[in-house]
Formats: sequence, C-alpha cells, structure tokens
Amino acid sequence: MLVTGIKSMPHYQPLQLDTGGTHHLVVCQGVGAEAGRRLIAAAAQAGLGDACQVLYVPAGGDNRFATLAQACRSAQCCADAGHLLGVLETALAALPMGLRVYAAGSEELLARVVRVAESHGLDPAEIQCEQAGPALRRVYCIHCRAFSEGVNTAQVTCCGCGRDLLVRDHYSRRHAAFMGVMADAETQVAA
Amino acid sequence: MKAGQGIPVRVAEIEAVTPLIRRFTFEHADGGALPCFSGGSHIVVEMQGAGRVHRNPYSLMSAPDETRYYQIGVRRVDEGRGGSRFMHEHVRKGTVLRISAPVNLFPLVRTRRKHILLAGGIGITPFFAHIVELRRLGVDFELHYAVRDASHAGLANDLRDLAGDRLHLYLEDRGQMIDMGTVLRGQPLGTDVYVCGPAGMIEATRAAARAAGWADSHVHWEQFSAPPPGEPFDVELAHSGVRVHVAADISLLEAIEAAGIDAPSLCRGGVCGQCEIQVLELDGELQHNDHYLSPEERASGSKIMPCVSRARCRRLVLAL
Amino acid sequence: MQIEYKRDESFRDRFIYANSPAAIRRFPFPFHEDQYMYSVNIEPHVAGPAGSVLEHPFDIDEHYVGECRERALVLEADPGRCQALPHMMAAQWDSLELMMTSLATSYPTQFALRRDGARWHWHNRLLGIEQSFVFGDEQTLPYAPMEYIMRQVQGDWVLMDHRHDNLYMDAGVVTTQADWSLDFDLGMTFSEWHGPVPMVHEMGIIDRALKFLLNLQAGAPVRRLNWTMTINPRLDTSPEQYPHWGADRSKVTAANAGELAHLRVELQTLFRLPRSHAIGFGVRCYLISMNELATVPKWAARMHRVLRSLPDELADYKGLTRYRGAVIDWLSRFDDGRPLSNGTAPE
Repeated sequence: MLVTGIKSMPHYQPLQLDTGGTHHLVVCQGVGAEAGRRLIAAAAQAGLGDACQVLYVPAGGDNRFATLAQACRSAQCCADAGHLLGVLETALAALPMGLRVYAAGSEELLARVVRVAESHGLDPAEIQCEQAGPALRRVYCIHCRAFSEGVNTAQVTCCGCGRDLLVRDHYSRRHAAFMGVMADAETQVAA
Repeated sequence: MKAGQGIPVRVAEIEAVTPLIRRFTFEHADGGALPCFSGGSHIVVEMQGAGRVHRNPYSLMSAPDETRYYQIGVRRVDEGRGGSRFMHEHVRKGTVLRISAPVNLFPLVRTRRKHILLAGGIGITPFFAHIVELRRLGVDFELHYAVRDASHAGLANDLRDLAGDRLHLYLEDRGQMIDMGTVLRGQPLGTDVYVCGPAGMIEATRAAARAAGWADSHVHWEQFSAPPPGEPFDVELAHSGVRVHVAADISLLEAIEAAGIDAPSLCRGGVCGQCEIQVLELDGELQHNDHYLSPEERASGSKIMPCVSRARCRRLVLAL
Repeated sequence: MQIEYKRDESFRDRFIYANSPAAIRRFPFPFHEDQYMYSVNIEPHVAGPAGSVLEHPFDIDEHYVGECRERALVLEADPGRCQALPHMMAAQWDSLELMMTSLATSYPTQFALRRDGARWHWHNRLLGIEQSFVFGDEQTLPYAPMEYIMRQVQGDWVLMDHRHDNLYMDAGVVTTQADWSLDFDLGMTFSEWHGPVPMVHEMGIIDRALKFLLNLQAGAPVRRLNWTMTINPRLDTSPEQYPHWGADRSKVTAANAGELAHLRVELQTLFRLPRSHAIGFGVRCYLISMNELATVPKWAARMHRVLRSLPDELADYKGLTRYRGAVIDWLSRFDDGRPLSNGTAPE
C-alpha cells in the first residue's frame, strides 16, 4: 500500500553509516533490529564501534534485543515505544553536535523519532529512516483530531468521532500521520 | 540597483575606528525613515568615481530596527579597484550617495538554540546586527573575533557593550588564534556556526565543522570578495545589439551597466544567482569565479555570472 | 470610492450574501481565454486601476464587516485556525506593521495609525476599534500581533520562514480557505504543502515558484490569481468543516446552479517582510454567484467554456466534479459560441 510520489512523505532508505558523523545513535523496533545490527557492524568495521549506542523496543512478541546487545556495548532495551521516546529525549538533550540518528521500525515509530530528533535541532541530513515491519499508518482525523493507529486500508472508521475517513495522500511530519477526511460528506443524508 | 534607483543618503558621521576601517553613518537625504531590515543584510553603495562608477556591497552594522540611520564599516583596500579608497578619500560628512535597499544573503536560522559567530577583521560587520537580534530572541550565542593586533580592535568596545562576556577577542600578534576545533567541540544539538572573514578563515571553519561531524545545514558563511580583475575582453549583447569592452579592472557586469544596459543583479559577489546570463556564442574560454553554478553548468559553457566571472576569448555573445 | 458596507451578512447556515453592481464590476474574473491551465502567473503587486481589487496592497470591500465577524466566529469555534510556531514572533510584528501602514495609507477615512517611536495608536473606524500599544511588546495587545491585525483584515495570511534555501509554513490565520488545513500543513515546506496539487510538480512550476520567492525583496511584492468554485457563499470551506459543507455539492441542479454555484477567486499576494526576512502570503477570497456572474455576458460565456474544457484531474482536485455538469448546463444558455475578446475585462 506504500504510495510513492507523495511530496510530504518522509524519505525511507536502507540505513547506511554516515562516516561524517562523530556519534551514532541507532533506534530500532521489532524486526528493525536487523538494520540496526548491520549498521553497528559497519561502524565497528570502521573503528567507530565505541561511538555507537542503540535503543531498542520489541514489537509484538518479537524481541531481538540480544543480537543488538551482542553487537554494541551501549545498548538499551525499552519496554514500549513511549519509554523509548522518553529515553531518546533524555539522550538528545545531552548529546553534542556531530550526532547522527538512525531509526528502523514502523512508519509510526519512525515519525515519532524524527519529530523528537528535529525538536532537538537535528536536520534531515543528520537523520536516516528505514521502514521495517508491517506497513501500518497513523491517521489524523481532521474533524475531531483523533489519531487512529495501525491503519493499512484506504478508508478507516475514526476511533474518535466514528466517521468513515478517506486516508488522503497527504502526510504531516509534525503530526506524524496521514490526513483522514470524511469519505461520504458529499452524499450523506441530511440530518 | 539600476542607475537612478535606490535610496539617497547623506553621510552624517565618519569615524576612523581602526587604522584601516572607517565607520560611516548614513541618514536619509530627504529626511525620511530608512527601511528596517534583518540582521546579516547588506546594502550596495553607489559611488561616482573619476571615470567609473563603483558599486560595492557593505553589511549593515546598525541595529536592524533603527530607521533613523544606517552604519557600515569600510576597510581600506589599497590594491583593490578603488571603491574602498573612494569611500576613505573622497566621501565626507555631508556627501550624498545612493544606496540600494537592504538585501539579506546571510540571515540567522531562527529555529536554532545556539549560534556561534566567527569573525575576522572587517568580517565583524554583519554580526553587529545579528547580535542585536540574538539578544532580543534571548538565544544563546558566542562571538569569536580575530584581529591582527590591539590597534585593530577598535570595534571591540562596542561589541563588548552588546555581547558582554559572550565576546571572545583574539589578538593575532599575541599568538591568540581561534581554535575552530575547540570552539565547535561539544556544542549542543541545534547549534549553527556563521563565519565572515578572509577566505582562509572560512575554509578553516568549514573544514573544522566537517571534522566535528556538523552537517552543512548548520554552517553559514559570507565572504566579501571583489570581482577579480583579468585580461580585457569584448562582449556582444545580442538582444541589446551592443558591443561592450570589459577593461581589466572592471567586472563584466559593471561594463554592461556602464554601457547603459539594464542587467539584473543582487549580491554582486557571485553567490546569489540573480545575474545569470545565457551564453549564445563563445570562441575562447569562460573564467568562472562564482560560487553559484554547478560544475556541469560551468563545463557546459552556456551560462555565466557577470558580477564576478570573465572570459578569455575572441568572441563572446550573451543573451542580454 | 464610497463603499456601502453590508452589516448583516452571513457566510454559514442561513446565507445572507450578495454583491452590489459595483462589486460585480470590480470582481477579479481570472480567465483571459476560453480554457484554463496552471502557470506561474506572477506579476508585480503594484497599484492597479482605481476602484479595482488591485488598487491597494490590501483590499477592503463592502463585505468587510461581515467577513471580520465571520472570522471571529471561526476562531471562537476552532482556535487552531490561527497558529504560530515560537520563532515567528518577529514575522508576526512585520505582518502587523505591513497591514496597519497599508490600510491607513489606502483608506485614510476608515483607518488611522499614529506612531511615536514604539508607541503606536491604531484606529479602525469600521469596526469601532481603538488601540494604543507598544510595537514589539506582545503584552500590550489583546491578542498576539498576527491574530490581532488579522481579525481586522479580509482574507487569509500565511507566514513562511526562509531557511535552508527553502520556505517553511510556520504561522498563519486561515479561516477562508479552499479546502486545506493550516493545522495539518503547519511546519511543511513549500513543496510539501503543495504536494496534493496535481500536475504542478511535473510541470516544474513549484520549483520555479520557490526559486522566485527565495529571491523576493522587500518593497517589491508580487501577486497572482487562483480560482475554484464553492456551493453557497461559504467562506469557510476548510477540511475541518467538510462534514458540514460537503453535502452542499450534491444539492446543485441545472435549475438552481445560478443561485448556489459560486466562482471563488483568490487574489494571492506575496511580500518579503523586512525584520524577519520571512515571506507573507495573503489569500484574499472573492465570491460571486453564477446569477451575478451572468449579468456580465462575456464572463458567463467564458465560464461555460472554461468549465467544459477543464481537464478532469484539475476539476477533481478543485472539487467540482459532482456539480460540474449542472453548472455547465445552467451556463450554456449564455454561450452562443461567438468569439470572445481575450483578457478578463467585462467587454
């Protein structure tokens, strides 16, 4: 369902070590651990292993933390996404310029990581995102402002106001969500 | 700035702030308010010299919201094309000049939490205005200012008033050099560095930022470079039907303007892209001195930035 | 020009709206020729003909009082229609200065501005507002500067921060929009918020427009016209309110199109703001019903041809699809196929 060509979409790519950075912070979720492990291996090969740290959150029952802990001395496993983002905030508040942030996980987690990173002054060139795991989207209902999570269809029932929403091809990094607009507004029966 | 346009100003004050730098204070010649501006802006000052018109860009040093007067600092350059010499030798209190409206090619990035300002010599001028804005925003900053010796630190007192202990002064004759690596190390995320000074200082800053892992979007510079001189050459302006001779010590843009042709321009320093002209015919080679065209565009020979670039050629026809 | 300010207008629920003959004559009809396609149709925003909507930097017309009241209603129900990121305060003051000085100069009997250093005194006779304040000190105004002045101006306003060789929509007051959301788009770059517009990216229009705007200089504003259609004289056609106005599109028939269908023209103006280096983007909306449009025979015939020839993708994006046929039917009686003069003038 991944629609390409949406200009407001964030850019996803396979994570690649940016040797221009001096410190590398890797954030992984679920199966995204694989991309993280590869990156840390590349860093170790380049002699930058000590400049890496990794934050991990399992997804569902899938916990791959062990592979990351093996690869990187500074590895932390978080209970859930909220916990991970809190740890990330704390880390970014103390880390200096020269940092690169890499994230691999669901679209929704990536969006929240990018939002935190940008709020701490990181620019797009300093952040990389790789989508890993099922393609689930967050939808922002433009009418009642509720977020519906885990959407993988073109239409969804808003969990806030109950309207049928069309998921528009328009993405807000600030809200970390796609816009949902009432699908049958033009043909609804007058109340 | 086209001939006859711009703002007429009268010189209200001239101060020799260092052995090489004079600070000029301009008021609107018609008694009106001057436009307010954003820190980092410059004006182009038009000077009617003997046999030629000088148009030089100078950063505005005065407070951005000060509309009663503007201030610029002019460093005397003896081996240059004469614009700064003109300012030092022929401009007096009461002289009327034309200036362009302010243009900003060196603005602060307003979303940053800290700004590092690095200045060498006359490069300090845009930072006067930046500091006023930074103080109003209440954002953290550091100013590192290098001069050759104490006699050239005349502006430091004014800076001390504005920047307090955020000002770090370096007197090069005492071996005090700005250590870029040290300055940039350990800065918090969301810091930008701005450098204005000689080419070597700018290159050193960019290299230090790269070494410290700073992405390009956090590094800003402004270089005051006069158009380099070169061999004289002739150029044909196809649309105007005019043939123009470009003498050794004037730029292609200046020669076109002197011939009465209206050519767009803005920064006059090869960085903004406004003066780009299409090359229709070339028998020879272009000498690109700008910082705007891509390597491909330069190689194609189809474009030229007349404010700083030249040609060594038997024939050159431009779409103007 | 004497304006008869309408005091009882309503742009929602029970609609009360009409254009006087003078307002119809000055309507910014946008179509120079019989078919429409996108272009970077930018021109200098300099004084247009006396009495036209282009005469002044900010245009005030007979709907001023009604539109200001409508804006207040929208903001009360949805404060998210006015937002500003923290770093945009200088741009907010720039906006206030620009609009107050422009209005006081353009309409001296309606607006007055006295300035004594930073102590300003503003008088809006049309709305009965008098305000003394200190320029630069938010505490001395009842609202933040942008909201304060925008409650007294017709049309929307967006502020774009200029950084990284790009423009970021970082503040705005948007209550009379044609189906886009400030709340959703806040923080997006120029290219990103134009994302949903079909065809323009491939045509290179967005890149060219951005490059042009990055070089926009203070004192040299520009303008262009944009258009769409709206059912009923409804100013707030935001995505937020779509559940309320979407159904209107299904009510149009070939019989009632004259009354219900409105041509909606946006006069878009772009200003470089001096203190903040930001770009201010005004979107001033003009509505005219097909009935009123038809009092100018050339415009009705041309409107018919433009709608008939409009590419489906464009019609779809502009939201015309459901009622396009009904409006074309209604307009057809005014089009005998005769050659029409180029240009937008009524004759």
